[in-house]
Amino acid sequence: MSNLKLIIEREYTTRVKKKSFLLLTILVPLIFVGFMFSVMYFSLEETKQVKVLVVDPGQWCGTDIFQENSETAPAQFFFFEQYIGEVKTFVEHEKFKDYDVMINLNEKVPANRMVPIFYKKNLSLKTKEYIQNRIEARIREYFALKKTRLTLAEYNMIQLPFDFKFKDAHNPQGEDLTTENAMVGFGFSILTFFFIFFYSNQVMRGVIEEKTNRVVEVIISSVRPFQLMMGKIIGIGLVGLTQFLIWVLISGAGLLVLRAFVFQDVVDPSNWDAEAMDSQIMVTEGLQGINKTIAFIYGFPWLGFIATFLVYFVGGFLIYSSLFAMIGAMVDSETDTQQLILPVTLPLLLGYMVAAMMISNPESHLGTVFSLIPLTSPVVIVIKAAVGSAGPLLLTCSIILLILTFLGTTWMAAKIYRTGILMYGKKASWKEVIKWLRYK
Amino acid sequence: MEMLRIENIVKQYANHTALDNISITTKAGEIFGLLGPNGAGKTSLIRIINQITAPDQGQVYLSGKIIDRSDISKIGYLPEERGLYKKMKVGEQALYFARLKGLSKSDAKQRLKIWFEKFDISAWYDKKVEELSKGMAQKIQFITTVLHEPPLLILDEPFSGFDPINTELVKNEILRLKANGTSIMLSTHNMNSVEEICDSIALLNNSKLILDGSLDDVKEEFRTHTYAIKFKGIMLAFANALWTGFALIDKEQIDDNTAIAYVQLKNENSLNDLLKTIMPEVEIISVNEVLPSMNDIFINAVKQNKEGGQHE
Repeated sequence: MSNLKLIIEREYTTRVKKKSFLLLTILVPLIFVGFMFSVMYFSLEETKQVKVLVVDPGQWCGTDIFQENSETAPAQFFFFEQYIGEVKTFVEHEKFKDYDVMINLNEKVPANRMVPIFYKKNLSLKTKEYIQNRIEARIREYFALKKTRLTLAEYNMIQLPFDFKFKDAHNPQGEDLTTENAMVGFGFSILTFFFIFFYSNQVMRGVIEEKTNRVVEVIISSVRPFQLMMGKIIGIGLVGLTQFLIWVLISGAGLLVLRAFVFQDVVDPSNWDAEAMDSQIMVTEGLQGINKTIAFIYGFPWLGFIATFLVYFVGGFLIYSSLFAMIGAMVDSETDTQQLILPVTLPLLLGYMVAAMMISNPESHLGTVFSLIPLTSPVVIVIKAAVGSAGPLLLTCSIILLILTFLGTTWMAAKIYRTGILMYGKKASWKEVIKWLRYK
Repeated sequence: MEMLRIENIVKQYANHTALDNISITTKAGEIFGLLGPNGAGKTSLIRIINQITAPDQGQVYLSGKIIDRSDISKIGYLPEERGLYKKMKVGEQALYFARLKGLSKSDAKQRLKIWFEKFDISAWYDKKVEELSKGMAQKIQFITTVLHEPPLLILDEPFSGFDPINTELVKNEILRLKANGTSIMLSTHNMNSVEEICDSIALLNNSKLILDGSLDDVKEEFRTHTYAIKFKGIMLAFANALWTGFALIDKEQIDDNTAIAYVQLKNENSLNDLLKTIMPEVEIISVNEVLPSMNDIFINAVKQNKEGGQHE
């Protein structure tokens, strides 16, 4: 037992002490938090107000465009009631030099539904949306009044959007976040996929290293091959977990800091401009979206989800890493591993693809089946766990299968590993390897 | 007192038999040479003794008792295919191996210090293995093998990779360990070192044991009864004097009147008979028996085995 501990300790410390580990472990969450920050920051950033010249010979807009606050709005509108025949005139004429954007509401607009908007300098998405929304609303109003017998109030009533809300019948009070949750699940699917693949690969490379270094026989004269294999798997698995935990801690702390100091006015609903929010005008939707994202991130049931994720991550890692250790023992150099890795990785890849499909349909039967198959469950079940459809029965069955498979693959891998690590100078065929299973 | 008793070991691999009913006994405190051509089964046998692999049949006894996992710490094994973790520091690594053998950290550190000084590599303690020369790495491997002071050492090609000076250093260390009561099993192709330090040998060929016993007995068995006779006189006269009971194998003219003749005794003739025959013809200066070298014994035994006429 103490030898196993020694091996785990060596595998763990030699890897954790590496500079590349430190770099990756600290850099990734910083990049994540930085990304979150910049997404929020740039979408909240005040862009310079642009001056929009509305060329409106038909006087559809009637020099009257609704702006709740023309001082801080992204655009200010000015009206020009003559034709400007060529865009060049807008660009070059002294008269128009103060305007940034020109909207050409010519007589063809009602027929071909195309409104050309010319800018001198490219606009931000937010500004573009603002301009479009305002002008569109105004033109619609104009034509509604002109071509129908509706009053403005009636028209605006019709224009009010309907909000279709899908709700869980068992929890009618709650909000339906299935898609968002499934996205989080899928994010962790990807994480599981890469963690398992990356760290199983490390196990394999460790085995090959010991083989090519010829250090393996020295060690197994002191410890059982099984101990060496398990020590390596556990040690490297712990490295992966350490990395993940550091990521979670730094990211979590980073998000908390952002929430406490940078985005407090966004997160706190009392700071929201209720009037702007409630107005039918769609320009605020972008901001609303960000608020929703932030609220979602802070409202997700992380604890239970990460617990499930960890169970499957560990189980999946143990299964795949033992298979990879087996491959490592079968070959003599890393270049020989390619075609052996492929069949082993295939189920993982398949699970990944099923997981991707499950974003749009987390409750699919296919997903349930793949949540039970131990070679795919680690990447698939996180989506079910994220949307809350991984029931206790499914979880129990799936975990039992996971454990049984882990025992099976480890048993097989240990038998093959034991023989393979002492075979120098050749790559074993599957036929030979099956014979190894029977060696005493 | 016996150290190792190997009884009827059989080991079969998919397509061939690696060990075919091998039985060997070694004495405590002796240096035992396990010899044989490449692929004879030496490494398979050594791995079974080290419990790295299990035999299909047969038993291994250590000091009279069936060997088990707990005996691992009583054996120091230097495999032929040996190496070190390239990225680890020398001292760290030696410490790791020592602790795997059951030494405590402080104990291992203390012993390492002594050995590193003895082998003059203290300055390398904090260097990485990849910076070491091959000989240096071999020294470290030797140290990690003997550090826990096991009663039985199994050394597979311990001299490979050493220059003559370091070979001498290691050889002396082996002899010193023997003097302190350590039993040693040595597998090597270096027949000179076998002759110099082995007390007993076993020769494996084609998975079978074809020869074993003390070095003296084996040499006796392979005596060719050939003598080198230095004399003053004429070689032709000497040759003519020999009758059918003797064979002149080789000759060497030293000067006009002095020569050495290599004569093998045939039938039941003794050295006395030979001397009687030649004394009237030449003046004998010296007579020495030409004993077979381990090299010759090895080659002859393997050759005989190949021809199907198993020795004895």
